[in-house]
Amino acid sequence: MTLENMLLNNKIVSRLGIVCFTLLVVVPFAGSLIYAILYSFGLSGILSNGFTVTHVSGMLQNPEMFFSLGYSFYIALCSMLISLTLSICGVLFFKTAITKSKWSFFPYLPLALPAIVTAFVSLQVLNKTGVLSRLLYQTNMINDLSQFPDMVNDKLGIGIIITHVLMATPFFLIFFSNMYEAENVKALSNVAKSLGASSAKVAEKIAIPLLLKKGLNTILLYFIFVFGSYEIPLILGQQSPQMISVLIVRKMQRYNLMDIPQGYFLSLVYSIAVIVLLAVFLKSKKQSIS
Amino acid sequence: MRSLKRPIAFLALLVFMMPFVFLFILSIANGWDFPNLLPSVYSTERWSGLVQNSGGLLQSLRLSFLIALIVAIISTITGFTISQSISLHSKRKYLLFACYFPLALSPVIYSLLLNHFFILFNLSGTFTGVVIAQLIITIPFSILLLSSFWNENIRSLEQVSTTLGSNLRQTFFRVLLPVALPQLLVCFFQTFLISWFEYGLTTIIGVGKVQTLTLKVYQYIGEANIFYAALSSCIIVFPPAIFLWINKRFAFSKLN
Repeated sequence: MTLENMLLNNKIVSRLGIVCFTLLVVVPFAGSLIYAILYSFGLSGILSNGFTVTHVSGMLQNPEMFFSLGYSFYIALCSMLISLTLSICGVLFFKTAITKSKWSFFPYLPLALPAIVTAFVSLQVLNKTGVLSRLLYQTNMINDLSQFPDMVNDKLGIGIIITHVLMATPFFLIFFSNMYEAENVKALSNVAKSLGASSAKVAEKIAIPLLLKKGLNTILLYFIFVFGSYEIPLILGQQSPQMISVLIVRKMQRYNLMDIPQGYFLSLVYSIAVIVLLAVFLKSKKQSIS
Repeated sequence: MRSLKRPIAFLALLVFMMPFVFLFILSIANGWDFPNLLPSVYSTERWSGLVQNSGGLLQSLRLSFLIALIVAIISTITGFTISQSISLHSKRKYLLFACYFPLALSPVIYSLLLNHFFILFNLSGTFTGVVIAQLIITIPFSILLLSSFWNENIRSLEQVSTTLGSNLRQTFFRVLLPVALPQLLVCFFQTFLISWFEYGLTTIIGVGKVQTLTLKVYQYIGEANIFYAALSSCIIVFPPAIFLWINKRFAFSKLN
């Protein structure tokens, strides 16, 4: 086979691949969004009677949607801030020992825990009769169950945040530890130290900004993941406010058919929020490449 | 500061190990009254009942494994071939960016939006439907993961092999595949895990009829049957933990 034949074959393979890509990736995504638009404006679905903005205006006048979006944002922000702080401190403290020592398998272990199992473990540890309250009771730090704070199904979403932190921290520990080595942070820090910078100054001016800047894309993607998480708030969250995924499922799986178009509109709002966040991600990626 | 290193490392180790130990203890416990820190009675009854398919757990294990295996094989092969096509395309940056959309959306919401089409094609509540739904998520993931493989070096290798007289098939099987094997293994492992851990998408498209292990965990939590929930959790988390250990020890070290 000549090189010309190979290039021709490559062209055919490329075209076939793009057709498959369109069918498997683009069509389902575009189709689902178009259907959501049609359903939200009464152009599809069991109760459709032609174009209407009733469902959309009904949802916009309902504070539930804004509370849910705000609550999801709050949970994602708190979870990310805590896990980023813990993981960066961990990397600065232990450096590459996290992924290089003989114990380096252990940070990988929590990656084998799916969200639903982590939520179940948190439920058994943090609830009123859980491991933590038993431990405090046995050590006489509390004498009654009512003294133990609500950490599950609570208003502040403490249980949800702790569970997300437990899932995200090992991931970012490994991620930043690999980056610490790849970006040669140790050598840069040594140069700064030899020029008279203190350890705190090195962390503040070199290590932390470098790790955060290089890891921005992954941080943003993880934020989107926590923002739309479902299993953890389903098990550990309360009835109101609910995180956006839980609220959408509740709206779309209810017996009240009038709630379904509102659920579709809510999904649309969520999808647009994700697309906007992804656009920010693309922009930051472009900047990091340039 | 240095003296703190060991206690902090020990504490972190304890936190990383705790869920596994805790789940195993709960899975062999018989009653756990307050304020006891640990269960007082233990039995292997639940684990031995697993072999006799008590509670349909063995069936769910088989189903989860089969779905994950099919999804991992198809998405690795499809991801590999499509990522090659994308690498040859002039707009590859935009095409790769499009892969992020289905991944970034919450799987449960994406499946709710797709559900109508699954009902339309009689795929809702079926094994095939769940597999297709999971593929819609895992294929873009594989494409993104394997897109970095098709770089200039690989392209040169392909051209050298062709100029030396090998045909398309020989180039693919004797040159590209052996070079890509470690990355394909990682892709297979990752997509297997995505499918193995999947809950939201399976529950919506499977309408509760395709009872995978994650659905069993939720069912037992709902029934307040914490011991069976722990047992099904153990079945979910122990195989990937062992798999991860093997992968880290062999595949990752080869990649490095």
